[in-house]
Amino acid sequence: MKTLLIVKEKEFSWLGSTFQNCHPLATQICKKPLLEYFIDFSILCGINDIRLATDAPTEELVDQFGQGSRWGISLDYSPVRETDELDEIIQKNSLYCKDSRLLVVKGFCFLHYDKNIDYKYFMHNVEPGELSSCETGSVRVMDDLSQSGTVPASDSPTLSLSPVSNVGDIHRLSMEILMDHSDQYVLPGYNNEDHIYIGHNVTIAKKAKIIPPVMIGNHVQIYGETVVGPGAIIGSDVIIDAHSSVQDSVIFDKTYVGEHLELKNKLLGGNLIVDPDTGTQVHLEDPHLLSQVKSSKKSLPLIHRIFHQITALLAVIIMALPYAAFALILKLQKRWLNEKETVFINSSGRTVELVRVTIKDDGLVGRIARSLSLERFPVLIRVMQGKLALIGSRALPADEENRKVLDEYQAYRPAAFSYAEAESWPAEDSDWEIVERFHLARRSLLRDYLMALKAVLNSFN
Amino acid sequence: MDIQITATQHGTIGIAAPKDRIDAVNSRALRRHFDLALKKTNQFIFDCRKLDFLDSTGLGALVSCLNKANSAQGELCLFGINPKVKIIFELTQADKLFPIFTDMESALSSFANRKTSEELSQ
Repeated sequence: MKTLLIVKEKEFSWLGSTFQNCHPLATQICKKPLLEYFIDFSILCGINDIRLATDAPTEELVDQFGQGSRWGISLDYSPVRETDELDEIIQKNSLYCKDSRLLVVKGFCFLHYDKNIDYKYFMHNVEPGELSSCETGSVRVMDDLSQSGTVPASDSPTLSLSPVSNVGDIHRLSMEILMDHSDQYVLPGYNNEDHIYIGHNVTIAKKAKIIPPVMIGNHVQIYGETVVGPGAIIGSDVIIDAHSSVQDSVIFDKTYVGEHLELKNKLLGGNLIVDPDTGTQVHLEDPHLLSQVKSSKKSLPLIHRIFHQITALLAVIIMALPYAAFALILKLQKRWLNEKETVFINSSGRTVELVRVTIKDDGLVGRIARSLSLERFPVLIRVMQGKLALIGSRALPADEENRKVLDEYQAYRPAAFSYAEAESWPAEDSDWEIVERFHLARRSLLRDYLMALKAVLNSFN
Repeated sequence: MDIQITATQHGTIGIAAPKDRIDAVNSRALRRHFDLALKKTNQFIFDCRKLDFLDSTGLGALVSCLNKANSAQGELCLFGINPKVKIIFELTQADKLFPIFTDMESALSSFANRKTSEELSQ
């Protein structure tokens, strides 16, 4: 069985890009991107293949969700036209849809399910047809194998849709889940106490009051005499200054809430505050009231980036001919293996696909190819594109375990060559991360240049 | 911003009708006009129907006017606040400081009610 999500841009154009500064499908409901709910539900149905068919740009989604490896599924993206009807979309994706039952979710909506229910049996045996619908979408099962199901759709376990057609819906759904249905979904944060979800690196002042249900993200500071909750959803990198209160409200990531403010039944992100009941939006001009928190993460200065990109460009030009020649020879000998790998490109979980080359030859040709670092050629192209650094951390494969590593590794900067490599640190030694952190904290243009040179020279030996 | 002094059945009332926004640029003028008007009356109504936005300086100016009116044993109320300005009032809890009404009639009758209750207590 496979999932086909069909979402057209016109269905979420009302959201714009102002509110959360992210792709609408990454809009957070209870701090979890909307698309992730569909992924979770598909997994509950025993589905490993998900395709998103949309007429909207997907680059941001690809950056954030990659190919689904974080969830152990395959997630891909298919372009459609705004005018395409369901039949046409199915036809265009006929190869994907062929010989498989299909769970089709159409529209910009929220799918209510219960993680405690096993949907596998139901989904594989339900009669094809619509399972649920709302004003903005529908969910149905289609069967290309012309098999009729044995279970009527009316026997569906918890499964319904809610429209997401205005900012009020985002607020309402977030509050409903937090208040009454948090046990139905996998929600982010530690949950040691009932109805309290707290991320890591959260500082709560002694005199602050937390009243459940609340959900607090990562790197949050809550100052003294504040009252958070009931019904507070606070994003990551948020500061709530003294004597303020947050109730029945959603605060999105990277927001500063000033002193002595009262947030009741509101949504806010940066300096934008929204009344979910009326949809009224106000951009506050006083940064001491509400403002965007600038990321404390050290971004690579422009000059560093340019140095990395130009060096990579030069390396690519020099290596192009030897790469083509050696790759051809070794491929003919079947000693040149290309493997695609999705890696994290920053600590917030963005990913990129890399081609990893393995040279399985200990003969002269293989040794020369390795000493020329030809296996890095495809990675250097990513450096040229600015996706990776020339020297930095090892690029970590995008999986759940490494996602946890990144939560504690803010300086992570994946590169074609790693500092540990430059220092000839053994790959199997777990201390390589310490070596990388040490150099990342002390990096400079000259240092990077010398370390990159050292890494290249090491490959000669 | 001019504050018109109008004689009504409820007494002499200063009516201010700020337009567009009250911010760092015009809040000083508001304070100055208010001080002048305070010499003629201590009852004020701010008609906010055309007010689109106010920043913290503007809000500070309004609170200053309220304090001055209260110190002069008078009062100041607002009406016709649009949803955007309402959000700012709610956020800063200024809605707890000011009597806020939906229209001019309710604002005027609040003065009348107050006067009656004061007369009764005397």
